Amino acid sequence: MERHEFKQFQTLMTSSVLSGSNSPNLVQELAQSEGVPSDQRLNIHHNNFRETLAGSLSGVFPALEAFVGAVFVKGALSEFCVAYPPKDASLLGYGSDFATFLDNHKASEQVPYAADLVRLEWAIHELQLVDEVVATEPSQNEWQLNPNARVIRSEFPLLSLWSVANGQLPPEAVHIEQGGQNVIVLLNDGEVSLLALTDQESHVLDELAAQRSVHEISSTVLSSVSKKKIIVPA
Amino acid sequence: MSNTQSFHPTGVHHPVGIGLKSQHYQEALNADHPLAFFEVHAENYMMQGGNHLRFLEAIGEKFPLSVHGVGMSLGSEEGLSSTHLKKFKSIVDRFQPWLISEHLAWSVNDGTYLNDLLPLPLNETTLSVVVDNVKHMQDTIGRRILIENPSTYVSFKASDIPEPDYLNQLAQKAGCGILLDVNNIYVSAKNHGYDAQTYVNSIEGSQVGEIHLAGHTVKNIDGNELRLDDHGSAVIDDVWGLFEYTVRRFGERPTLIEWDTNVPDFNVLVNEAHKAQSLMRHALQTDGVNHGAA
Repeated sequence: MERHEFKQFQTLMTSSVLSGSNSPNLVQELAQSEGVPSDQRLNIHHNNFRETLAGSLSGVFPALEAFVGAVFVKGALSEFCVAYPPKDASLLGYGSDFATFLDNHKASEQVPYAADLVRLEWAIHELQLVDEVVATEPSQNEWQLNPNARVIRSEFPLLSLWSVANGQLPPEAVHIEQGGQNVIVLLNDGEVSLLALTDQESHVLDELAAQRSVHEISSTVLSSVSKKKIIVPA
Repeated sequence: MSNTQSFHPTGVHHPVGIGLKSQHYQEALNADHPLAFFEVHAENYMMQGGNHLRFLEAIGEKFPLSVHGVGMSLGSEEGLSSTHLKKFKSIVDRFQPWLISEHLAWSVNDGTYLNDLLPLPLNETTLSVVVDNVKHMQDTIGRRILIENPSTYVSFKASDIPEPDYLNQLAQKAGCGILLDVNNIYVSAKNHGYDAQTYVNSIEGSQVGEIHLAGHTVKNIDGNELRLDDHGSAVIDDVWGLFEYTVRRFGERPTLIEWDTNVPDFNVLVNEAHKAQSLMRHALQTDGVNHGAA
């Protein structure tokens, strides 16, 4: 076996692991085995790939599971692993694309809020693995989004849905048509908490994201409120 | 770099540890157990912060740690990921583990991580790749590592070096040691129809720095049996027997109980560790023990 043949072998094997389908070129590399045929033995690696990856994410999305059930989540994660194979051997960041996957997942169309729920749960998971940044006093009245925070914007009542999944609200208290909620997930002193953002708070975050100064933000807010004649010059 | 002698903790006899699981952090810290060390998967601690790192630091202050890599992909033709190596080195620098180990396997190709310990054709070409990768890893982290024999389900026409010889040559050429997973020997021997004790006899015992023990599952496929290394149950009697045989042949080595799926109560793992200690003691008391020699 020459070096380039070894590389070719690893490429064929990669395709087999990802797809579960063994090319004839790979099968002919296998030594004959007694008992279980060699090509069936290869499938063990495809099964390991799907099951262990999906398993690594089980438990990260309990709210989603509360709405759609463990079987659905396991199936969706299994499809996700094939569609988005990991690029890093440390799987701690693996799963960040699961929400994007669900955005286009046919079977999830009946659960339109599933992707946003996953974004929320991923933010909770992710913040438990970061080094908490200690806040400092703002210099020259400059502000930024707290690095220990993640903002999830949703056209669904996300925090209420999450509260239903956790048994903090009865299911009948929430209707997905009731309007969207933007939620901030915040790590503070080692504890992760969730808060619904008011429209005004969301607006301030938008303005900060657009690199506007505190002066510009207050001017914009004042202008908006004055246009509606909610306030007038004194 | 350290030699095999440094793989024995000072003043500890029959050193048996367990794989540390997050659900057992508090019990591990309580220290009213006979465990000599804890082993962790390096990849599970490659985060920036949080409780997992805090617990590991606390446990590492009380017990020797063994860092076991599962994702370095030492058999990759494309070489090692510099990003992953850097993260691994950070773990080593931070926790100063007593033992460091990885696998004779590959899991990365063209930047995609396949999350499995994939088998290699065993020949001069792949040996040269693995030797280079092991040297690269050892040079980067500044430590000698142990390489674990895998459980395998397929074998290749392009293999022309028996696995024990391959490991011996790897240890000799790369300056690494061998982590002898007795359960993996048993699983592969059953799957490929060779004799497990003959495998052990072919290993250069002076290179063995650690032994792993675990449970496995037996799968029936169309009436044919295949053994899968899933670390989800107790060690079976045949594997205990092979462990005792190995200790009798090589002498005392740090020994780890692995249990990674269907993780039981802490006490179940401690009982398995007790059994390993007892068998190790029994093997060493038996006449004719050939301590430390291959």
